[in-house]
Amino acid sequence: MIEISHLRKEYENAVPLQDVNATINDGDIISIIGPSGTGKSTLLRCLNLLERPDSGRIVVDGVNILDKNVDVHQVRRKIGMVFQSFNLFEHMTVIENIMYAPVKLKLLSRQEAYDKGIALLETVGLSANAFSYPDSLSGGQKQRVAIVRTLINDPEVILFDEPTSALDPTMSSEVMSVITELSRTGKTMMIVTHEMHFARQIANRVFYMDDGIIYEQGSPEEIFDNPKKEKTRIFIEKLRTISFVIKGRSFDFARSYGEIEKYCFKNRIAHKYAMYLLSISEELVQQIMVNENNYRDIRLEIEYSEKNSTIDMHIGYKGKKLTIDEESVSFKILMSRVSDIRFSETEGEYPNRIDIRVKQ
Amino acid sequence: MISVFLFLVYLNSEKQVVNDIIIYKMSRKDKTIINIFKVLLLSLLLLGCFSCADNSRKHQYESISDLADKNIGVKVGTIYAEIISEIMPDAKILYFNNLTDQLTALKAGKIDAFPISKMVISTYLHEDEQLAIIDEPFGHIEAGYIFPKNENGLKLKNQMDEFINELDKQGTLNEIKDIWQGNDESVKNVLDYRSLNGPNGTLRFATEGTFPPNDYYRNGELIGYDVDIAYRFAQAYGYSIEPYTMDFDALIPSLESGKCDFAGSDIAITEERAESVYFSVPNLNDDLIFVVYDVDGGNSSFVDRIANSFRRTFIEENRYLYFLQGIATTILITISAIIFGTILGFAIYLLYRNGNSLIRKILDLLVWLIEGLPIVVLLMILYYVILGKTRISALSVSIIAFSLTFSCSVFGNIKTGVKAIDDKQLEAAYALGINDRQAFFDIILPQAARIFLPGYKGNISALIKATAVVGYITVQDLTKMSDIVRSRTYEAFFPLIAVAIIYFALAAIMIYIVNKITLYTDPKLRTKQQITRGIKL
Repeated sequence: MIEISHLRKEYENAVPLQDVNATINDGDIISIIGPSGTGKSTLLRCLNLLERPDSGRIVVDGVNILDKNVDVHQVRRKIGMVFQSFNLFEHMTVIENIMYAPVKLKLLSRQEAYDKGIALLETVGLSANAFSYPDSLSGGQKQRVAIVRTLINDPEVILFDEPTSALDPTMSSEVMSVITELSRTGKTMMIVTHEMHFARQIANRVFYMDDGIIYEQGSPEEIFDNPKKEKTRIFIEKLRTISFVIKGRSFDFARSYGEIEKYCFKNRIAHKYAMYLLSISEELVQQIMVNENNYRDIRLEIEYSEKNSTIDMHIGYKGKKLTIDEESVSFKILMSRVSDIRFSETEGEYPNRIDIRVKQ
Repeated sequence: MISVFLFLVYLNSEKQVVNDIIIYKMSRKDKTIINIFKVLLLSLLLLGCFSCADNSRKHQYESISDLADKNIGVKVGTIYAEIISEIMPDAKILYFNNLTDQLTALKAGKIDAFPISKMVISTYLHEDEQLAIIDEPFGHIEAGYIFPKNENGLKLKNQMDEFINELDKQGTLNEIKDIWQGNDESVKNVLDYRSLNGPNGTLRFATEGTFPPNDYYRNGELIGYDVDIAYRFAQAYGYSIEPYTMDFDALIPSLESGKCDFAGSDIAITEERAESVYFSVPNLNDDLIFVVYDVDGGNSSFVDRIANSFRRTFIEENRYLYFLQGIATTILITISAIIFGTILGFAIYLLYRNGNSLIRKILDLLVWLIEGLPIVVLLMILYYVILGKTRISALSVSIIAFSLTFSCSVFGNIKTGVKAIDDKQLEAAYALGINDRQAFFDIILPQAARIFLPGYKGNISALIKATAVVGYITVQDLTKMSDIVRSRTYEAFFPLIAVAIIYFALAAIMIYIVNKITLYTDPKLRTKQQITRGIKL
């Protein structure tokens, strides 16, 4: 069991780990997901002491491995690591890569290491490549060798730091199937990955990391189907949002329309929908302004979900509630571009809300 | 013309070798043949240079006025330049390190004449048909022994004055002078300094050793007029002698630093020198004359001349022994520097790798300092200044100096090599529980070696050539030995070419050895048997 409490790591111009707290039980398989630069890799690297945290505790089986008198090498032997870029020893054959550590550390004799190495290579389908040098292997083969190299030490925990990020899809799947196979053996594993499907299917627990903390954690179903927190939801649904507040009649509409167009282009939203978004927002903003003699702020938010490929627009405004003449031409135009529109009132800064889903 | 052609052929063969290296499949036999071919071509090329160096001047200089606006070669550290610029203000003065270089320059047409004392040239003239003199003295020099300006030096100087005056009074001084000035080599002998077991201590006697008949080597033995009198003096006053030979302009520094007790090598007495050393009374009064090229001399055929040169350079007086001794010294210095320099360079690198930023900065600074110094300057500083007061031998000092410079280049080599290897492999080793030292030696170094060995090889061949300057601090290496031979044979080019070929051969042998080691250490060239040693498959 690993208990992480108040872990903090600072660099000169970044704080990848603010305050990380977590408990990892034996046999847990944990997927760590989250946007880039939020400390996922740093957390793994702290766990096997490739990085020294600035403060906090990591207690492995009752021992705080950050204590000064703990043997770093002993800790690392218990906690294996698989890297994004494989990091095989280029001047050694595959079997030597695998045999190196156990023989050097006198855990196994050369013969034992060789036999065990060949047996493990067989389980990942690479026994024929035992005497190849890494530079003659494909990326997927290299990563499988790297996994075997870690396994031969019989680590209690294996950390995978984006094991498939450097691979193309076919190679990714061969590595993922090896990791999946491994997960059935009951070893504790922590996997940082951007492959959401893989993260969900392999894990019994998921950490969503953001802002240098474990922002939300739960079972795969909880995180992927019903994320509780806003940022998690945005990440899971791969939401891309843009928002601005229209203040006063002198607001620079041309510029904000330009921004919407740019946002659509960046997220590869078809030009047709960009035009829809522009005309919907123009129509509604105008209506709200006409409706309201005493002009108030209007907040406009566009949300594009890559996962569901839906485009939503949320408008919030102050003042009187808008009433729309359903017979008017402008409303009919509006409706031709919208698959769903809802008017509601809520508490908050912008009490009147209009939620629209753009017609696809 | 021939030389140019040969040079082109040589370049071409070089190119072919490069191609073959790329193909890599060349058999060992082919390689040997190509190498032999290369050496042959190189020898021919150098001989071509040799024949071209023969100049064909038509005009014979007859009087000093003929030389008024000509190039005059002067030995560094002598007083001739002052005298010449006074009597011939339009003459252009070029400086040379020793008489041998002056002779070479004269024969190559680089200078038109050089000044020398009559006694010195008298022995040359009958041996070398290409030389002539302008028998018109243009000055006069008095030469004597020099002593350091301290109590001991003064005591020795007074004893020497007494000794020379006594010899002069008895007429012995002139007798000795006549012997050394004469042409009969058989009567030119000095007493064996090893037989002196002086009760009054040992005197370290410094001389140039390449300046017959004053001081020169014959059959491996230092003899000459100044040497003769110095030894007689030691015998008369109960001293032992340790002779040292060095460049002329190193004589005074060697006294000042306490490396030697007195020196004599036709050293002209001048006011300026008298400020830094004590002079004895003159043991030599002589006229100065000019030596010029004799356009009528040297009519023998090209082949005869080569054969003659070869005989005089290697066979006569067993002079090949000088070369062998020189080669041994050069190899000793080179190999010691390679071994110590590599170890030291490695140690510096390890210190650098494990050190904090302060240690790194200090090491960088030291390396920068040593690499920035010309090796000659480093040698001189070590020999005369830093180790000046110790009795550590010049040979050891040169080994230290070259080990230092070589260690700096090794340090640079390793640094670049290691930098080229991805640190991530190091991390992977750490993650397996391997410590930093093991990981460095097992993972990084074998890979870095492949990258830094070519540079290392380059440094070795540079090192061999760089050792040619150790003559500055009295070490008799290959180059210095060829100087000694040249000073006896008056051969301008042949010894130089021989030396060039020997350096080439030495470099080739060293590189061959390193190549073998490279192949041995290349991890990717191991066989499956080597990899699975001790394992039942």
